[in-house]
Amino acid sequence: MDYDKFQKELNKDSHGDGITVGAVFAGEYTLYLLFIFGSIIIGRIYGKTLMTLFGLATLAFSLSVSPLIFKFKKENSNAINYQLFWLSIFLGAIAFCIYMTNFEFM
Amino acid sequence: MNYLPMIIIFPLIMAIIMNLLHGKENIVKYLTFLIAIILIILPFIGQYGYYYFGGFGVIDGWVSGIAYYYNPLKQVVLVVLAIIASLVLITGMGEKLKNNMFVTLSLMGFASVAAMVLADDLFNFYVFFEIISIVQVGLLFLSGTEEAYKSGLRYMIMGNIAASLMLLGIAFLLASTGTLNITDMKNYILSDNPMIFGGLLLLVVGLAYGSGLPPFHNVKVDLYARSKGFISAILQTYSKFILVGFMLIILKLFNGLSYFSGTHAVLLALGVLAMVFGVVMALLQSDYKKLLSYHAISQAGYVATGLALGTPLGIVAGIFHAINHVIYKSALFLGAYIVSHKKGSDLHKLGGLLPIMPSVAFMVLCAKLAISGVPPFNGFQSKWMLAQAAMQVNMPEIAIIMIIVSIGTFVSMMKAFYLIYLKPVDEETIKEYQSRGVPKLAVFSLFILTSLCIILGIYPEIVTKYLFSYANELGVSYCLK
Repeated sequence: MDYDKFQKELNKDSHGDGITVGAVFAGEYTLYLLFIFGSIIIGRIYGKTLMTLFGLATLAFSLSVSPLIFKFKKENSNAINYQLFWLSIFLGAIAFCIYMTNFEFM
Repeated sequence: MNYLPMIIIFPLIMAIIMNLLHGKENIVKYLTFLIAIILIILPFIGQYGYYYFGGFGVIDGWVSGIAYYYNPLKQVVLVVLAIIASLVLITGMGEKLKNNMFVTLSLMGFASVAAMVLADDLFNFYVFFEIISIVQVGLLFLSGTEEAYKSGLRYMIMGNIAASLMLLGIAFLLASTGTLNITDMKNYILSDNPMIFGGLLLLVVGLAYGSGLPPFHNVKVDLYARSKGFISAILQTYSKFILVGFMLIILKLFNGLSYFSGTHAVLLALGVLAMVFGVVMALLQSDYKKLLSYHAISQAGYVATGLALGTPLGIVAGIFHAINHVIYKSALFLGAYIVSHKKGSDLHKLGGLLPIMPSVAFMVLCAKLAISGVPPFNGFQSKWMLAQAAMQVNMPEIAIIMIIVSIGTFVSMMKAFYLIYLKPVDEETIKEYQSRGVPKLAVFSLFILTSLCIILGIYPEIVTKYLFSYANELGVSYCLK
């Protein structure tokens, strides 16, 4: 994950100027910070260290395939097949959370 | 006499009348201005409390027919909705083509969102949920581009799925409780059963679709980005208040019930994901309207997180942020509309607009600082309250994520400001800018909205004092272990 790699990728769309590369870098780090703080809060809500470790493993995996942000952009495509795929994942995930979990929240 | 239903009936009637005035542009313009003024008065003519359509009221202990519930919190929401709708209608008067269709759809949208905020009946809520979906696509189609039609189609395909699931959820709740009235229903869902779980699950799908939370954020962004700038302003306002109306219903029905904790976590996760996904995608954009659209999703995440916390302070902070957000984001979309009159919305083709329109640049900068949460603007006040609400329930991680997202917002907003207003351009481009005018009505609306950003930033209690009583009624105090 270095500056040149980002610039090369952004230059494909003719957007490799300094301010855009900086903004995309900020986005990349925002994603990693989400994984870190997300895994901590999930671990705390569920009261299980395993959940935090699982979250941190996700972070480690995402670091190994960095830069993450261009893959993230691809998944956020407007194509209807991507949309429907994530909708089905969403339905499965919330069904799992609501039906299968039992924890002390309040 | 209680004139509460006029908030919904008046815009609907005017929408029909406007539709009949096709081609009579001058009459449409004068009437639009008159309607814009009346819309602001409407939220003040209703009385607080329950209103039963047809006067049936409570029969044998059951509420019969459609019911609305009005209180100071809902009044504030409707006043802000009316202000934005009026300013957008006034801005739209400067457009020549299809003006009456725009007014018709905007008024239908206003009526639908007002009904969703007021509704104390799930089916009535659903009916207006459907109407607003169609209205939003109609407003998108007014831009008349091929991309707009494609986006509208995608939005409707996703809407077919989400709205059908939501209706099924309402049917589950009806089957479990025997009523559609929300106040009544609350008494019959104290203990869990699979049908109620299913109903709750499917309501969350409807919530995510209506308000543009993941995984529906991309279709929503397309909706905003492909519309004309001033139409995007009203579209994002509708979405934000749909989120508020929907969350108020979910909280009224389920907040505090032991089996709600799983869904509670899901709602929080949706809010946090919307915040982060929105801002990360915004940082990647080179189209100004797409950048603003992704920020609208990110800010919806803040609102959803605040409301999903479910505490009185969280609810107040969430609704206050929704109000602030619709004000500064409408200002930003109007700014984008003004810029598009000069040279489109591609950030890498723009630049050097500061000396051409310094007052617009200053007002847009104020709105950008407001969305980034910089004092003394309104965004700072509500983001501060949201962080406080997260800390109050012992979730500092959420407060930290909010701050990180604010930093990302600031970065992308300053990037856009530099590329549009500060970046040096050649003489030819300056001449091109000078040959094109600025829509004056949009500048007027931008001025009003920027003033509101500053006023609410300095005196937030103008709004917050009306929010606490209902938030205390709905909210539950707790602290994460």
